[in-house]
Amino acid sequence: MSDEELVKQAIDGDERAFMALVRRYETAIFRLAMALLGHREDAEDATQDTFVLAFRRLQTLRDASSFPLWLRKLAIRVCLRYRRRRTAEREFIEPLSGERESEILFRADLDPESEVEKSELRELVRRIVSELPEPFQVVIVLYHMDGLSYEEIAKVLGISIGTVRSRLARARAMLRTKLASLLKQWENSPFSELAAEAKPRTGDV
Amino acid sequence: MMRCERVLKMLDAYVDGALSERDARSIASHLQYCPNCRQKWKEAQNLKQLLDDAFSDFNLRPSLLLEARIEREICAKQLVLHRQVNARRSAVIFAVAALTLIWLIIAYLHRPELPSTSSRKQTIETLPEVALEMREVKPTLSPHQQGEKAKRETESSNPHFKQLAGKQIFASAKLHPKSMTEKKVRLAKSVSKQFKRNKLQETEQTAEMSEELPRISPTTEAQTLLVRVERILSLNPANPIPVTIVYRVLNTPVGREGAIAIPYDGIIQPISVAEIPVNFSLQP
Repeated sequence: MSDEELVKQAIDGDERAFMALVRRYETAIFRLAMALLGHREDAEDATQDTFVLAFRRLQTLRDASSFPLWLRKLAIRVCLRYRRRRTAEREFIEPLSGERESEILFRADLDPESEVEKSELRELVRRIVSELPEPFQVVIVLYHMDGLSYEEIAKVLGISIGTVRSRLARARAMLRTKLASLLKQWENSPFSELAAEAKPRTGDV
Repeated sequence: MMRCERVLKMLDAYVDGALSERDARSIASHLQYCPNCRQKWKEAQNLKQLLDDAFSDFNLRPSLLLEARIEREICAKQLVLHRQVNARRSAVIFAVAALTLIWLIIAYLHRPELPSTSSRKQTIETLPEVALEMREVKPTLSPHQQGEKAKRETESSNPHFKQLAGKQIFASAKLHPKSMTEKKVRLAKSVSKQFKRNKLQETEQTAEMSEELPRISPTTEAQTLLVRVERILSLNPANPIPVTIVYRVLNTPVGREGAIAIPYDGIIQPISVAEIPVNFSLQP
């Protein structure tokens, strides 16, 4: 059964149809929540809250075919709420020192050839992404993890395609700066091209 | 030809394949001869690759219990929703019942002293028809017969009229504007205002009016009368029935005004001018 049919049945009060949608999108929403929150328990709570919210607001969904994007929109809202709450709690308990990021970036024992290290590098990139300001983090996750197009991201976030483009460009510029220090150490790694960014620019042609 | 600055600004979108065909072609041609921008393009490609890789093995799955948790929450919400809907429905039913009861109480307290509500309503609804009239007089009955008939009907159905007709005493016509259409309300209001203005002198005025009522000569020819209702009077302020209508005939040089009591025998029929006897007078 298609999403649209399930959504229509769910709007008519069919809980089983809605649970079919839950099974279909649970993993995607959970992954999105994990990418934004970085904490399994919070991500599961946020996923649950997202679906409960979706169930309550299903009547407001005008176009059944836009359910996946609409669900992501709700998920992002829920996740950012969780994130702000957690940030406030963390700042209250242990103020950020700013050392954590540099500690990771300047680890000298990274071996780019090792699969373990590659995996660590991916995790490191994800962590750096998670430390971007919210709007930039969200566009990176939606584009690189969810594989949404610029147009779909614009729909999810309720912004123009031009804004999506500029946010992505700015997010990547931030990432280049943050990754530069790390990549500098990996001149001969598979990511060595990126290390060139760490070098001072000689000016445009 | 595109400048480097513009190319660099669009480079990420170019790498993502999100540019228009025209912009993409311009950038591609620029990259062919600009090594510096070409280098930036490669870097942008690498960064994109790095980010894609970073999330490629992000194949996390939620715990198996999550679905059950969601289902439980949704069932609970559904239950709450049902309860809220039921509570809302009960509240609406209760409110409607309460309002109906209040309305019934008010209606009972303000009930007119009529044999039945339906006949009263019909009377009020038919009254304004008199105010609109421009109808032919069909002298099927002689004016004298008509007058006699009306008088007979009035007297037979209205003890107050029987008692008071000879004395020519009229009281206010308390109509009920809420049960009337706009036109009817206007008529009722004008009557009410007029009555209030003259309340203290009512008896005297009415008597004068009755005295001044000229007799309209009987006619055998059909004639069109343009009648305007001047006053609507009743014998009993608490009971608008029977109603006496004081009218003015506008387009006849002979008679100018008159009055008629609407006969009442349970159900009052619509009154037309044709039923207003041209020589009818309340004077005994």
